[in-house]
Amino acid sequence: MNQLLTAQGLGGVVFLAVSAAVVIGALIAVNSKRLIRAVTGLCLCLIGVAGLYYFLNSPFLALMEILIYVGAVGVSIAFAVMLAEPRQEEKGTRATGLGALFGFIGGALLTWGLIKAGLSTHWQRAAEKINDGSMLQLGKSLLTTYGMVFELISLVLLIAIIGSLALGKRGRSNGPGKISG
Amino acid sequence: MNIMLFAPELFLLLGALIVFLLSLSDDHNSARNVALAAGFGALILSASGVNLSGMMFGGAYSVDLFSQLFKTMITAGMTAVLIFGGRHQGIEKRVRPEYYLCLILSTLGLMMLVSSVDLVAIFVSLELSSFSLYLMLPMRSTEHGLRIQMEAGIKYMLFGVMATGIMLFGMSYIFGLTGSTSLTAITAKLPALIHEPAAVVGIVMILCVFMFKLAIFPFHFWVSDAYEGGANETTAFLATVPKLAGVAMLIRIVNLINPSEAIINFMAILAVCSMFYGNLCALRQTDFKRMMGFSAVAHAGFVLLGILTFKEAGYATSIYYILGYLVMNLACFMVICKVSKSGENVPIAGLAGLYKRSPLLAFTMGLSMFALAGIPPFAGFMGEFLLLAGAMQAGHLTVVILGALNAAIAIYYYLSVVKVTYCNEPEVDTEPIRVDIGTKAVSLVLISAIIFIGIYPAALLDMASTALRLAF
Amino acid sequence: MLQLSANLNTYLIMAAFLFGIGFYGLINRRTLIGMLISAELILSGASLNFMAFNRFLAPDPVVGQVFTLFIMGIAAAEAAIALSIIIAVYRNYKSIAAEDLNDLKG
Repeated sequence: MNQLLTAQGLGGVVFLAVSAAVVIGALIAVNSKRLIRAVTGLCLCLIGVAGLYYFLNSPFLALMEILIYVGAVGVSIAFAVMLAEPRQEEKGTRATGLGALFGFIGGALLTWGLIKAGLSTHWQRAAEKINDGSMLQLGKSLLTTYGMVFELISLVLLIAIIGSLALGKRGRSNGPGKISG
Repeated sequence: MNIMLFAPELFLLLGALIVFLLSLSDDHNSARNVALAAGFGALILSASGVNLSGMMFGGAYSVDLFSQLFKTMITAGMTAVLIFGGRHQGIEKRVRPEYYLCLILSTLGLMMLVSSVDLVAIFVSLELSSFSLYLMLPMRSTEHGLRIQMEAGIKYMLFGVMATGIMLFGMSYIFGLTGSTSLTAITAKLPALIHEPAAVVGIVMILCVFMFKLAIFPFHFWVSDAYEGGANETTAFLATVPKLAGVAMLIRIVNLINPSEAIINFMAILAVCSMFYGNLCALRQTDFKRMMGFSAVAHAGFVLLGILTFKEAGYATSIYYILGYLVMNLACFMVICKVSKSGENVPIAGLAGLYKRSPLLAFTMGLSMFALAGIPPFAGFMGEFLLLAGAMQAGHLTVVILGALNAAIAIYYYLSVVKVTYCNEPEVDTEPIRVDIGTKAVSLVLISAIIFIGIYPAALLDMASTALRLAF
Repeated sequence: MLQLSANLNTYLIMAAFLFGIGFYGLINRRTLIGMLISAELILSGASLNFMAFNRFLAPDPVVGQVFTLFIMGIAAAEAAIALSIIIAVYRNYKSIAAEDLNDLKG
């Protein structure tokens, strides 16, 4: 008990908690019958992943994970669920029979294979780190070494915004407009 | 940094910017003209800069003969699609400017992909081109009560995202092993680590995404649906241009490792499965685009035959083959775009009596079908022959026999298209098809390319080999 | 417990689990949004792998973080595009259940 109260012991407990959040969140996300619960599961899982990033010495990425994934992606998926799923429980949301079995076996085999490959490889640690991986270094690298990719991703975001708007625009013309006219 | 190295990309980017501004004002005709000008300009710039070489952006971007050759083919494909697409009747009128923007950015993404030598750059430019493609599919017009384009779009996208996820996992293992994302550093370190399980798993996982682009066997689910669901113009692009980049990247990634028996067998099995699956499914299709989708799976299997030799000559044959494939597919999709009156799908029976309605289109279709079927002396025959000969030399006798068997199966369905085009009388539509001057020019260029590529393989193979030697 | 958070293998197992469960979800989920959620899990798994290698192995502990940032940006763009297509599907099919999307033969 005393061991738990030390700072390190507490850290261990927090680590177990975030790991549990990842696992339980992911299970909810793929297994729940109602989509909105699945979204909540996804958010829980991603908060857990953010916690893991914190343990991996990157508080900045942890913050970004929460802002971008939980904040932006999670919320927009939740909105889409509200827009497009008025009759959530009429149909089973999961496959039955052969499909489910294939999915389960495939997923289990992939997990097992990746774990095996990961654990049986002799990972070589770098002799020493060339910088401390701080936010300052991250920013420098983002605008120098990865400058081109940084510009390129702006194009990706541009096309995502314009494309989504264009698909939305045409939808309006086919929807209520047509019925009233 | 020499600005000329980056000129084709910059020119396309400029075109994209102008189209973006035009998209604010629904002016789709000028948007199309700008896109065409951008494509044509980029084609000229990449063709004239084919001998340039150099590294840019901190070693993330390599310009050499290899990348420039692919860029020339990619821009040529895009320009051809824009010309024979005409006014793009298959695309919803209100979103045409956005459609052209997607087309340009997709091409730009592919051009940057073939030059990228850094995992991060590969990832982001691949996604730029894929996202634009995902968006282009559902932009098809809903005029005839069509809704399959949405279904095709979301299916293609979900499979695509899964393939990206697999690739990212692979990249993370390679990053973990080598501690770097630059392909130059990875090439230096990876051969020593190849006995590690994570290295093999990582490389195979990265290859998956490019096999997905080429629709090789277990990653082929999307192909027939996307081909059928997309507008004719979109399918013409989807069926040709991304495949080029797929082959370029397969070669780049495969080149990172030394061949091991396991990987070669793995690829040989995938190649044979793709051929059989594609050809047997294509036999019973009635929709032309769907048939071409399955034919694409079969041809992707052939491309893999060149890559699994793990030799420069094999890679060069693959490049040669995909160039022929580009030209043959552009030719037959051009005919489909013109035969389809208002952007609807064309069943194979709809080609009946085409020789009466438009002799030029019928000839183009006939020629490209002969070429795809692998009948000498056209492009397809030489490509298939060289690929099989190369695989034979490398000692894959079983694969060669099965490949030759497949070439024979394929003749049946390609020639039945020719038969419909020339021997059947027109059923519903009998009026002649008007072919505009741009399409005529493209069709003449494609016809002569199909013949030229088939007759003079040596020059093209030499060029591809030189490119490979300089790049790797 | 201390060793767990300072051990590369813990993170690798967690990432592999996310990948496997994402794959399972993609196959099993019968709604498009459910499949999108599963795809997000796969991408998170890959990001976690990058961060773990970045912390324990890489000589430059910035590269993995940069990669993860880019994955996040791409995932956000991907969600926006996928949702807009899903809404378009819904407008035309009045359903987002994958089994109702059977105009194409698959």
